[in-house]
Amino acid sequence: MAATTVKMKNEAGLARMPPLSRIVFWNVKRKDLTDAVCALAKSTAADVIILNENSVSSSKTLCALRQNVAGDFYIPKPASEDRFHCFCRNSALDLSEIHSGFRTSVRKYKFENQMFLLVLLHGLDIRNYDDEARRSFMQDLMRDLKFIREDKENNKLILLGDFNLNPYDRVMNSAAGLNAMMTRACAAKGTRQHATKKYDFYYNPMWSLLGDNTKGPAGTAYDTSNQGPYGWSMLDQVVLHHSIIPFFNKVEILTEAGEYSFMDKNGRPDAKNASDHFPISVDFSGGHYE
Amino acid sequence: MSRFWPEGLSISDIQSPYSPYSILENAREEWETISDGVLTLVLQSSESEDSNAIITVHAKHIPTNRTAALFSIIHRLKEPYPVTIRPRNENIPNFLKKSYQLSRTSAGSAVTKVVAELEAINNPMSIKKTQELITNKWVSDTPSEFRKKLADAFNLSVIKSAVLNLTSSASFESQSEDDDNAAQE
Repeated sequence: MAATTVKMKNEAGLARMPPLSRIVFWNVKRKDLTDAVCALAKSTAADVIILNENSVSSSKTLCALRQNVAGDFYIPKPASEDRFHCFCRNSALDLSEIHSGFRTSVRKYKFENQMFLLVLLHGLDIRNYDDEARRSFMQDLMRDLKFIREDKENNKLILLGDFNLNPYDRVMNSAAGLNAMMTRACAAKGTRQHATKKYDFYYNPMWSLLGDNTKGPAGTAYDTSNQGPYGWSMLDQVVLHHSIIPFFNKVEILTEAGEYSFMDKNGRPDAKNASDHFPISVDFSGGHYE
Repeated sequence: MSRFWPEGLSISDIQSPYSPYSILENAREEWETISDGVLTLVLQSSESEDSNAIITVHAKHIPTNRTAALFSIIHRLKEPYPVTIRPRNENIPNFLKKSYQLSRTSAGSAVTKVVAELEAINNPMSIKKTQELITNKWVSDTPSEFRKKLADAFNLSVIKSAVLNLTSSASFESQSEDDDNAAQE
């Protein structure tokens, strides 16, 4: 079990002693970064490691995790989508797949007597797909999310992955899109109405990590070509249904693990020796406020 | 032989059920019957941003409530035909596909393009418009055509793979053992 107990303070300054669940997501860009992945798993003590675009077989990665990090790592089953390699060391979390969609894999995520649905997704990339294809994908994703909410009778969705979009892209925050707001307070209202329909708010904590005035890098990917006009992009994101906000602790962009640095000398993702994406780590905490 | 009856339109096309949704409901009944109630189809109706009707077809494994998105059907609102099928993205590598197209770029094409552009600058009248006919094999004009293409869509490898993955939960234990063994080697 990787679950740890940490002492934190919530926004109101109240101490709590919750169990912690940590998920690390990394797009490894079809490179063999097994050693770095193991270092990442060790340094973060994550319960769950999710690799996107992993060219190494999942059994080989599992073998390395067991040998170098902890013997209790396993691959949650069933899982049909090879796009995401998921490794877990806490069977109480479940993480079995209940829906596979268009570039998505939806997992049960049991935490603190709650059943969340972890939606792993990989958006269409800017280089190989035009705007129309990307817009169409996002529309497919919205329909998929609606289906999941209705069919599984659960709206506690956590979206995690390489969105290939920035938090400020229109589809991320429009009501009929993801409806993902910048702050907890924005999302706290629960819903907003657009035309005749009500749309549930989501919270996108990645906004807090954008730009110079943050502890870590300004984004998770760097590109100054015509496809990356802002330089930094926050392509790797976690977005939460408003009902999950009380369980959300923090998200971080990771730039190193043990002896491995994922950053080049300019402070950007080291695409040569690691990946052109930084990993992100997401913490959930439960329990009651004291 | 009639000279005036629209070619390709069969008598069954003008009898109900003829809408794509009705035909999909028939498909759902067939799935439930053939799978002995283990599998069904869930039809999710919605409207696109550009005001087209979309039916997303999901397969559901009833004992586990697991689902998989298979493909979408798109037509204009209140006009069920023509209708197109948009298959699920194929994410399987080429060596696992029964057929695929290999696109080749000739070595001289870039040079040819540059020469053509220079020629166009010097002599705008020399520009030859090239037109490419794009064929969408998934568009159907009639119900009978849609039935046939729907059957083709269900026969795609990627669909069969999605369905088999849904139903293979019984083998997961042995699969986990394989993983364990692989990890111990």
